[in-house]
Amino acid sequence: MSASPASLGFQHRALFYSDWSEYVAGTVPFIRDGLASGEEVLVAVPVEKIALLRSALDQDADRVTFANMAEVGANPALIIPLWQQFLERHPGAVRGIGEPIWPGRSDDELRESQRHEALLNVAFGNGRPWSLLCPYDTRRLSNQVIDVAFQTHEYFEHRGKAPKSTWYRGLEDCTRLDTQPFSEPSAAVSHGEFESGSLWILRRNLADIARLAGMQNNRVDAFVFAVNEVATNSVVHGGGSGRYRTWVEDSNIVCEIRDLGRIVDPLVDRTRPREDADGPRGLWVANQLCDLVQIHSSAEETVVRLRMGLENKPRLSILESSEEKKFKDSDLN
Amino acid sequence: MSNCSAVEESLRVAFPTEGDPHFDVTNLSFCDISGIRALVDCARSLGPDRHLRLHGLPDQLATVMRATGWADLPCLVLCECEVGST
Repeated sequence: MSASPASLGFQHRALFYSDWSEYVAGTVPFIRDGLASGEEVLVAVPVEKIALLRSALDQDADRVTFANMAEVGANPALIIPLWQQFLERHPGAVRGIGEPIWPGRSDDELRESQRHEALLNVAFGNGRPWSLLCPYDTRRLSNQVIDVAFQTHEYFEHRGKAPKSTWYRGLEDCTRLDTQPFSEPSAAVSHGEFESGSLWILRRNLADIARLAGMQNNRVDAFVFAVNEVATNSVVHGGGSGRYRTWVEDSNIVCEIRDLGRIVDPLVDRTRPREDADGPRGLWVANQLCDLVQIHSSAEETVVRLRMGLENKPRLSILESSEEKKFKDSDLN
Repeated sequence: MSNCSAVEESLRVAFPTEGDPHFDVTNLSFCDISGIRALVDCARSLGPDRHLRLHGLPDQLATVMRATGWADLPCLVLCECEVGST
């Protein structure tokens, strides 16, 4: 009942559930249909859902690849590369379950997760056919989140069928980087300007602020590297100079880079560059190093906010994914 | 960003013409992507069956190498051994 015939292309479906039984009723038949058709199945959901699905699937669970979304998708920009990699590894039929939004995500993470859901359509909409089912907890998530889910998914799961969503935005609207201006910082900011010859001042100031706030040295180095790359983008592609603001907020350091350029590729920060390509890599690299990278880009300006927690966090990224153990359950503990 | 061409040229001159050059970057105070790219270009220019062996690469640079796929290039080796033990 949940087949994904080639004629349907990429099937991006929302699944709305209010309790465990609805969750299992929506996901398990989807998984079993895929297994019955010989498809490879990747389930990327929070770890407690993995335990639930393993139990419900019984022996079939051994034929499914699981990943803890709270780790692989802690930074939502890393999720599309995860799916891209899964598709590259399995040229035959595949399907997946991805749950990037759960209660407890911060406002900024939620915003980026919603952007991720929209960009999935851009990344895979014109590609090979496969199905991705995205569960949403209607009891614990806000109405706004559910409304946006109807806008970012072309289909939704309903009693084993996948009707079209009336509110789906469409591909073009999903590419927009100018939909939501950032909120103003809630803490005092340090700010300045930079150009090619003064990037070192930005790096020094940022490192001083981060260390003063208590950030561990290895994280300071990584954060400074990432911010420097985004600021370099401003120098090279954004008019030759830019402005920065940095502040400490909820045990995170935030640095905002602002310039007069415009980003036109909505996937620029989440498409892994080919190793032999000469194109810009700054935003991609920033996502590998930081906890969150947010972009707002319009005809007038581009603003990039980079966020890094003061403390180390457990994090699996796709960086190690060439190792098969990456996707196995042993990594979920 | 501003001096990577000079760095690349200096490395090309300094590297031996045979065998694998070893480059210790333990004391590097800062290097951006352009700098890493300069190292990658140097490695690529070494020719067949030669490798640039990098020692003491800071964690964030090793992460960048892996993120960009450069760590997988056959002409580049990220050495984890103690510097000087090779």
